[in-house]
Amino acid sequence: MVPAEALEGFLVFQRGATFYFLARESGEASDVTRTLKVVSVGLPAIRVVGRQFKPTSSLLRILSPWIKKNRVKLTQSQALELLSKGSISFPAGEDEKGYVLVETEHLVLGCGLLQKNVLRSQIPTSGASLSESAQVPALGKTIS
Amino acid sequence: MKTLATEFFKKYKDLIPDYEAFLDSIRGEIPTSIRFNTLLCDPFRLAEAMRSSGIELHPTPLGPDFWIAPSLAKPGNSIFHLCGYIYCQNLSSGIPAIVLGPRPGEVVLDMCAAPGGKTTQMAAFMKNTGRIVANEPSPARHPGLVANLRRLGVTNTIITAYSGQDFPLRVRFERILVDAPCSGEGNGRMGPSGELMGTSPRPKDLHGLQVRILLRAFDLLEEEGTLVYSTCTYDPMENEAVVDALLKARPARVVPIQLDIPHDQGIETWKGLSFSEEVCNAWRIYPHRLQSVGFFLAKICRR
Repeated sequence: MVPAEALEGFLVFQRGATFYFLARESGEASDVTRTLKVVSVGLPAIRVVGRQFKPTSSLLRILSPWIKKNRVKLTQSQALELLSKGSISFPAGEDEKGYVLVETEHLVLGCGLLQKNVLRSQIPTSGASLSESAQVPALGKTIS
Repeated sequence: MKTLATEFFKKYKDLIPDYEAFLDSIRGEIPTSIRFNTLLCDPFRLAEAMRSSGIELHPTPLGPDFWIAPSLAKPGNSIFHLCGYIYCQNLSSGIPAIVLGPRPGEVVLDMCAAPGGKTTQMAAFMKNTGRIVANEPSPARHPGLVANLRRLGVTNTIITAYSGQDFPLRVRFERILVDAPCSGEGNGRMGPSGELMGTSPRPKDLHGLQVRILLRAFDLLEEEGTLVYSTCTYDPMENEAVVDALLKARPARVVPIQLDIPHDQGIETWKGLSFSEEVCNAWRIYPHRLQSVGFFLAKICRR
């Protein structure tokens, strides 16, 4: 659950099954948004998938400081395997299922779907070929 | 038939200072440079995390957000890139947004926005507040722009698709960036056999288009607003001559840029043409002064 204050700064727009978050504006900024013919607005934040709301990886990265539950922490090798193969086996309790925030010790990776001891990546990779060169940090502090 | 880089650039032999050093500097690849996305991370902690994973980072004159990362051969394949913590951006192209200096809460127009490097940089300066209008007339370039805005977690931006020169005059902006379409000569490099690499065929009448876009941008500027005009080319007809045309047509002035980054001043004459003295306040960025691509930029305000 994300506290309401974390969402107060956003206007929400809907197009089809996607909800977009746009930073709330004031004064002249709101005139700009209303006056122009807009192609795309803000950040795709939530998609309706079946009967569920799926948060996008982008949304989870910006809201990560407020997200306390449904977080899955992976090791370096697990993160690489998830991103390169698309899914990994991940032991989870019966009540631990659904969309989760996936992170390593230092990076928030994005959204995953946890189901029946399998974690599926929902993180867009845009064709990047992640390998050993993906260079997941091994030491250090959380950077977010 | 391949064009030799020395043949292509010899027209600028008297324009580019220390021309032989310039030719030396365009041999081979430019070192990889990256920008840290401060919307998602603290730059000092990210530097620490990257170094701890074996990535070599060298500081740059552009401050703590920009780094040379020579060991990061394919930054697009790095997990830091995938998650939006870094953006691959050459140093020269990072300067216009720094010069423009958008602040939180302001209303900003990025007139030629794709692929979004400068837009996302400005969003970080503005801490995702206010509003950026990222205008990109070419629909074919929207997917890349959208993908970068999403990856870097930008929430204060809307995308429009007007031709720059026809952008509606209904609204005014506090800051405007015109990174104009140009011949891209600044990206030109010298291949192993001396051949010219990195530039594409030059469209016709770029000067006319650039002047029309800059005039419209100026007309969209608020009374106390700031505008930056930039290109990645050396050609004075696309640079000083364009700014000079603005100075003749509108109550504009070119103001000095107060930053400690290696540069040369704009020029006053070119092939028999004379430009306003103020044009010398513009900056020329050369690859032998800053390890990056060639660039031009002018900071403009109302008189």
